[in-house]
Amino acid sequence: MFFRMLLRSLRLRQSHSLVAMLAIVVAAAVSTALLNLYADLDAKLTREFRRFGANVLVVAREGKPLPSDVIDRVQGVLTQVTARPVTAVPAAYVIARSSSGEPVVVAGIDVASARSVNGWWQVAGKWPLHPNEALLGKRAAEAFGVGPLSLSYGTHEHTFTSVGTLNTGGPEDSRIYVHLEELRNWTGVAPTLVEASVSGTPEQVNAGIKQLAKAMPEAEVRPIRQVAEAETTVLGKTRSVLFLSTALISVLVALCVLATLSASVLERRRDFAVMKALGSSQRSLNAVFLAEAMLLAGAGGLVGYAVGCALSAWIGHANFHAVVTPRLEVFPMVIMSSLVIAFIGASLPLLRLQKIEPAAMLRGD
Amino acid sequence: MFLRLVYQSFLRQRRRKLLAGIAIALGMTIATAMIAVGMDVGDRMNQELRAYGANIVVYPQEDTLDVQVGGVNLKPATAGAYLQESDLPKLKHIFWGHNILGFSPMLPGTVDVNGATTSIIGTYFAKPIPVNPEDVFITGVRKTHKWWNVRGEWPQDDSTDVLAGRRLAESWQIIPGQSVVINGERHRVSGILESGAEEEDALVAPLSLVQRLTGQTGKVRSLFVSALTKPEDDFARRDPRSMSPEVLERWSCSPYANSIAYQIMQALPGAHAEQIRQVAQNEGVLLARISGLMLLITLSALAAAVLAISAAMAASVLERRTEIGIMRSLGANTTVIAGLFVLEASMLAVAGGILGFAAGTLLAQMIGNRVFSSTISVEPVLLPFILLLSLVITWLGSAAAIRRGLRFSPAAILRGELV
Repeated sequence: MFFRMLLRSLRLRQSHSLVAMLAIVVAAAVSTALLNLYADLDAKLTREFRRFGANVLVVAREGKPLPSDVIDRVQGVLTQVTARPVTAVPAAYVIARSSSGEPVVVAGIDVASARSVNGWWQVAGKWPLHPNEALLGKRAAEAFGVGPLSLSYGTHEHTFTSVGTLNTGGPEDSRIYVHLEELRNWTGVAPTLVEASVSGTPEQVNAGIKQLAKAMPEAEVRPIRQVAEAETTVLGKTRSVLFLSTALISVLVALCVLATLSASVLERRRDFAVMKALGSSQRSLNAVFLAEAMLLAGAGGLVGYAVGCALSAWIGHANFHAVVTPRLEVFPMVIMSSLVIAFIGASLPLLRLQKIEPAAMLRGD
Repeated sequence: MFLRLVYQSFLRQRRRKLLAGIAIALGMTIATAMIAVGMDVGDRMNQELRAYGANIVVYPQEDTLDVQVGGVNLKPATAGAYLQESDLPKLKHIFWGHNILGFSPMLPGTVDVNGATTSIIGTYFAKPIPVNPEDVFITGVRKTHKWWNVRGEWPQDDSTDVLAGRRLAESWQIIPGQSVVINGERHRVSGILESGAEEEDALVAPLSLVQRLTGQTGKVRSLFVSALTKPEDDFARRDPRSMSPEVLERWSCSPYANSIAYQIMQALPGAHAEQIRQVAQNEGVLLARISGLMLLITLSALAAAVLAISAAMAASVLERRTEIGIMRSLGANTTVIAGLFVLEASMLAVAGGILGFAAGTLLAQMIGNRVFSSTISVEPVLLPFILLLSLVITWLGSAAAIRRGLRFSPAAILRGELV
């Protein structure tokens, strides 16, 4: 009997049910999408932050070279702490003299990893691929011109071929970049510095730095503050703006749905009165109306969750060119709040209707 | 008669109207707050991104190469060219002067401390620069190098106090407040500087002091400029030298890092200005991502508000089919009935829109205060837009339901067949 009443009510009042469900679907969808985005924000933004390059520096202490397996150890420890891939760039610097006797900084780097970390390096020409090739900073290139470049370090001479010009607007513009191995063959200088690009929240990166400092007491490990501090600020602000927007939109849409649902239950005072006049108990009446509202809310929440996941995936694709994976923990939150809203939306008017005599209601007062 | 009907309807069915009105007001609150926040977030984030520091560097055109490794600049003090300190206020007079949030001159040199040669950097900390008689601009590393952290106190720009870099202070074992002897003069170390970069191996002092100690009066080696810029696009990358006068004007009138650098070069004789690509390029991308995210969220919120209001309106009209039936059986023609409903809906829309606009403005300001510690102003221009949006949504939301109600024969509706 109960179920027949429920089903008939839903079927006969199809358009009413659909409209009420639409309201719930909209609220559930937009909340799901925002919660998914909020949960994924750290991962997405910290990835974007890595465009700014390295954020951790490992420097050899005075007079002690870095151990030969430094790259593996840096990557190993940092990956373990942050659970994300880490790129480490070893580097060595020497001051050499050009054929005219002018001092110039020559940096030996691992070209492939430097290229992937320093995305903003603008290279005209080619990156050095072969041992004897060099990348000249813009100001260095202006000073030395193109063609073979002979440099001396102490008594050792070496000739490089300039294959590209580097423009950064930073100190790199005054330097000459060559392969690390070639620099070592020429000058015997081993890497003294490793720059690592670690994605992860500022807290994770700090934990990684602490861990690494403990694992490598022979070197100094420190964050690149310019990058790290700005990241903390920007991530924090974005997080709060998104959090407040999510809260605001979810709460207001929920209230909006609450108003719609209350109105639609209130409108059925006639049904309510007729059933009561026919001898139905208050409890079974409440049960029918509540069950109807909850059924709509459950279905609406389900559809809304699916629509919301699609919406967040689309936003992630359109804005970050990456997928925002639907969060499973959002699902119970959304379904539960849909049910709670439906419950409140139906019980408030029911409480009012209880106090009114069926006869008065049917007369139209 | 028509007006009396509307009036009566509002008077008699207050609760029903109230709930639909609340739904509209809530929806419009979302719309107002999110449009205001979404439109403003780009500018706010651009300000926050200045935490990455200077995005334009200026050095003398004729300068020789920097020979700088690990903070020690090995370039001979006599080599290279200099900028004139007296030219610096000109920066604020360029077309985009207001977008220049701060600049710090740098003058590196070496001094003798207890017989050891030590690097010293002269700069502004928070120096007031008179731009014009009634406007004083405060600038220095505290604005452009926000990640510099000082234990102790920052020196005054007109004092002879100095900052000691962290590693230098560790090796000398000094604490803030102690003195060091620089070139035979006693100077108080007011604080220890933590910058995470090469400055930790040097002394940092007011520019005027370093100019005196190194004998470079009125000179500056380089200049870091922090400017609010517009993310770079294809147009920004074009070479100003190859542009026609009209295109050049349009290019100069956009605050790209390149065009600000170009204007700085024209304002400072003998200077070369360049964007610091690590900061300038990347912050543009980051800014685009964050404001893009907020834009899409604003659009979703708008769509949600639209649908929620439509649902509320449709529900409220659907419930009144009996009324439509009675009116029609009493001889009202469909135009009058539709007019009645539309007029009612419009009044609700306007009332809800105004309420929503007011509430949304408050919420946007709350978000601005909470997150950015500054108010997000809602343009009054937004009000007519919100009202129009509210009207259109309520009309659309009720239109379908009204048409459905009018399509059925009044007898069927009144018998209850369709309820």
